Amino acid sequence: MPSRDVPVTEAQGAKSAVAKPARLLRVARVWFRRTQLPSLERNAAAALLLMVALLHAGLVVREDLTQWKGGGFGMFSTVDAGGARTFRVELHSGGSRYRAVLPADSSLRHLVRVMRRLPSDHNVEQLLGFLAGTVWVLPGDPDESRGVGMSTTATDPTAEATWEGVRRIGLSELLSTGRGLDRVVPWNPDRVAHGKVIEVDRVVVSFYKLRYDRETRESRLVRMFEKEVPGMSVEEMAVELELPVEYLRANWM
Amino acid sequence: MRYVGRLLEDLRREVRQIASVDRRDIAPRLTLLLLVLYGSKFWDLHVPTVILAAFGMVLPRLSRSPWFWATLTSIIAIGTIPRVYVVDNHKVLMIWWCVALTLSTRSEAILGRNARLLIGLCFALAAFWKAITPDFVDGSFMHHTLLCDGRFADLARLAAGVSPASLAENALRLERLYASEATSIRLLDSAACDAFAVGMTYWTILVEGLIGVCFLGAVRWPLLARARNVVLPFFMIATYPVATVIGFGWLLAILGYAQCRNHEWRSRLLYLAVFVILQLYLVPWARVLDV
Repeated sequence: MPSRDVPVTEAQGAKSAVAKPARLLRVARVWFRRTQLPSLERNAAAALLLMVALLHAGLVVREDLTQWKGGGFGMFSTVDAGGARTFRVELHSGGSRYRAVLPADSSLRHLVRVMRRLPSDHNVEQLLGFLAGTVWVLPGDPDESRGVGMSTTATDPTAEATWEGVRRIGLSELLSTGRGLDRVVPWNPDRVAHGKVIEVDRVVVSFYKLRYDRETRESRLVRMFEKEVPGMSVEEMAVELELPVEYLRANWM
Repeated sequence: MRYVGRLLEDLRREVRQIASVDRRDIAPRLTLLLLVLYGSKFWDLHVPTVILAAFGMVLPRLSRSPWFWATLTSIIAIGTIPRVYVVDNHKVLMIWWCVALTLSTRSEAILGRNARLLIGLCFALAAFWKAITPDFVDGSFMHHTLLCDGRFADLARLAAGVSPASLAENALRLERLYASEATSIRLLDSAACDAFAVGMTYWTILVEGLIGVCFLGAVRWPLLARARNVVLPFFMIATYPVATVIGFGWLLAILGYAQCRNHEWRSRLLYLAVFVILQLYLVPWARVLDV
């Protein structure tokens, strides 16, 4: 039987110092298993669902998030689905107005999809930033604006299936049905061979959602908000395109 | 005759066996099938999910491991949450169900409680949003959906008497609304469409609210507990031929199966049957039967 008075060696002391946190950890684990784990096991999934649903409700009220999305289970409750929202981009240049056609660039496509569902200040600012920093071209051949990308007036082709009738239309068909204003596209020498660069005074974005009245059978696009940003000056465009201002004026305007 | 008798006997034995299998064996495996067939289609989420699900299906013990489900849950959550404003709600519900599977491997009762709460909350929220949205309550949403949503076209034609020509014209008008400078259009309907839309509106709020109440109140009130396994299968059988979101239907069938108590073996079989029936709704019956 070892005596109790045997002095603790240096190695034994170090061992007990290590053992102390390990023992604490074990105690904590047992405490967690006995008291917290049952509650976590029983309620965590439902609590997470409720937390996200509350966040969803807040965003619907404050940021105009569509009820259909965001994990709050508001699907099939309103005609104001994300895919039914739309926006129109108008460019003002001197006395002329143009309709912008946006490229089907993947990052912009995702931004547009998110923005339709959640048009928060942050998301709208991102789109406005892209539009303000774009050099716009009026194609020499109007056909060149077709197939460039997505029309700003088209519904989202990857949106939920609610708008089956609209979803069936190809993008090129939608572009060809646009009327009223001339269409302009972002500068891209690979896509647009001939045309003229537009000096844009201001870019106006109007955002719409769908409303329907059963009594009158009327479907209406109701403007949610309109925002505008200044366009690029000739000097800024020249820097962007890495061309001399004089060359830009002489050959592209 | 003897052959048929033996076949029926074998079938009965198999069914009895399925009814008595631990829910923690069946529910995770059905969930893996759901994730493969109706999970996210974003490649960065789809590829790892399918690989893990394949392992889980081949190695049954893996599908009972909390670590396996924790990994799968993490992958699905990381891939889905940044896209929460784009993906459908049932994809978000799949995350919560995977969380529940991760935490419920110790007990069938915990699995059942989680499934019951998820169903109850999901339907209570769905009924809540419908009840507080003016264009749903006044029947406008259902009316518009019957006239413009392609998935409801057969119902609008067969039950509400809207002519195919009117449906095609409505689609065209809606196209024009979006593609031109116009800001309003008028839709074409039928004499019965209005009443049918209002009927569907109240029916939907009633049945979704009832499911929410039955599942959330099942522990306290035995009547609600008994009713819950009638109203949910009925809702699924009645709803998904029209709103063919089969992924959501499968998820509800799995949750329904998982929340049944030990003595509710008939309900368990019913949910499994609904799971199979929902696939039949993908057959284009109107075209096949030429109606």
